[in-house]
Amino acid sequence: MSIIKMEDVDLVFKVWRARKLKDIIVPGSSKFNDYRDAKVHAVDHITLTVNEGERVAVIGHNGAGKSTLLKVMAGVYEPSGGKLTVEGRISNMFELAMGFEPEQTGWDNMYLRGLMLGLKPKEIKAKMREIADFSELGDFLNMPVKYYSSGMYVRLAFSTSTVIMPDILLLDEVFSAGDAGFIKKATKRMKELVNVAKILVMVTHNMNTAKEICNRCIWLDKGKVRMDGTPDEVTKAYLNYVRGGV
Amino acid sequence: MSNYLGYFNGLWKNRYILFSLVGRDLRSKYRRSLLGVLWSIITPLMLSVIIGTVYAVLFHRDIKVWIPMLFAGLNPWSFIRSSAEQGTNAFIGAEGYLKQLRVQPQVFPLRTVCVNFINLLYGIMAFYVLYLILQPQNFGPEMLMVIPGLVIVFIFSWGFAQISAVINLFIRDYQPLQSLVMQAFFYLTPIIYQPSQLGGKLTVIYNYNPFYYILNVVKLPLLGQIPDVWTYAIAAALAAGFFILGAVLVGISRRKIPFKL
Repeated sequence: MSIIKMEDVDLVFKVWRARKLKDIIVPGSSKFNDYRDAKVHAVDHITLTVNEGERVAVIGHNGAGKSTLLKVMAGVYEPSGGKLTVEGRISNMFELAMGFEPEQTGWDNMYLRGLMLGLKPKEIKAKMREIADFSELGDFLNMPVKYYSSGMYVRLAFSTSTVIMPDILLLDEVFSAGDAGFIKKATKRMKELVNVAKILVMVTHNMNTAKEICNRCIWLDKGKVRMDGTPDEVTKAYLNYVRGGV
Repeated sequence: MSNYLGYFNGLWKNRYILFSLVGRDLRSKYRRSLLGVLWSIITPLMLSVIIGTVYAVLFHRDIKVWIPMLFAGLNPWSFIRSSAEQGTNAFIGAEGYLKQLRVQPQVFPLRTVCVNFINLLYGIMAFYVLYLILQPQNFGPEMLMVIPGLVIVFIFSWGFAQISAVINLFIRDYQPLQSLVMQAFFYLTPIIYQPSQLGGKLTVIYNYNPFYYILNVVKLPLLGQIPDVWTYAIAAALAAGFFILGAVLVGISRRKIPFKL
């Protein structure tokens, strides 16, 4: 039984202004940096439940708190308030080249990431062939990943994150770098994953992706849920709002 | 109590990650280098030969005594210094992992210490080769006492690396400051000179210097001498204190780490 349950979850980032000695000695010397100690309410008292079988697209403009919401679900950021319950094995993929050892080969990184996603050395070794096949990276896997293109990072990270058959998959706007062939393959993989009663939450700016892959859509605005419904109605409302705003 | 169990449970759960990262660090250190891991032996060896020769010539000392003495002190000193120094970067350098995967933060300071400890073992091998050539008559079973000494210095450096990692995460000015203080202690601790060279009031310099005791539990057995019980007691207490402080700091700040990266 997998579930993500957020009850009144709240997350406030405190952004301290970097104070340097120069600012004290020469007042007003940093004219482009005059904001005071600020608070960013990235997740503003959100209550929502994601059940098994749901594929949720999270949309909204930049800075709406989409990525932070995913990181809270993943357990990276501890909420400042409210109650979060997550059951099931999580696999996630956020910033692209993050969490890779640039000097190491694709194989080594695949192994390490498998371990970090909670697999035992035996389990990940048994899956490496399958991951390699799905990624179609071939000989590139023998190369240090610092030579990879962003599309190749996507292939490696996505293949590793999904072959381990997670209960919950969290993806943050990752497909923009993949080529058309891989996007098609990845889309199919995500639908399969959810067919075995798992959860998918993805952040996307592509309304077609949201409609094609997902069966639920959440529109975030300033850390709050502005709309929650089927991908068709939510993306339509969002696009109307964006057009109206221009 | 459950917190402290959690600390070690977390390390145990992430042990494969730790092994994998340490192996990677060791392999990548000498990547593309012809002599590879031999550098871990050559560097401390040549450093001691260079400094030892300079001192022996300047102060008219016996090279055969000076070089091993220096080398025996430099080995544990470099280990402590690099653990503390690289410890400052332990969390910052692991941002990619800490901000997207659920890996236990206490893995990262330990990773740094393990890598440096393996380099220390290489340095000790180099030391014994040199000592066997210069003063074979000093070899004896007393040298086995180097093992408890290494345990003490490992725990001390582990604690030190954790303290540096946490403080530097919150106050980035800490790293250059620590590096200066360590440089000062390098001269305040009898490493490139002998305690006997400091007479009278100057004995304060090492009597109240924590590093003096920590170094001696490794340095003296390396040279074939046994430190007194008092030295062991102080060194063990310092190691325990540093470790507990470090582990508590990591425990308190673990939730805040992703926000500070």
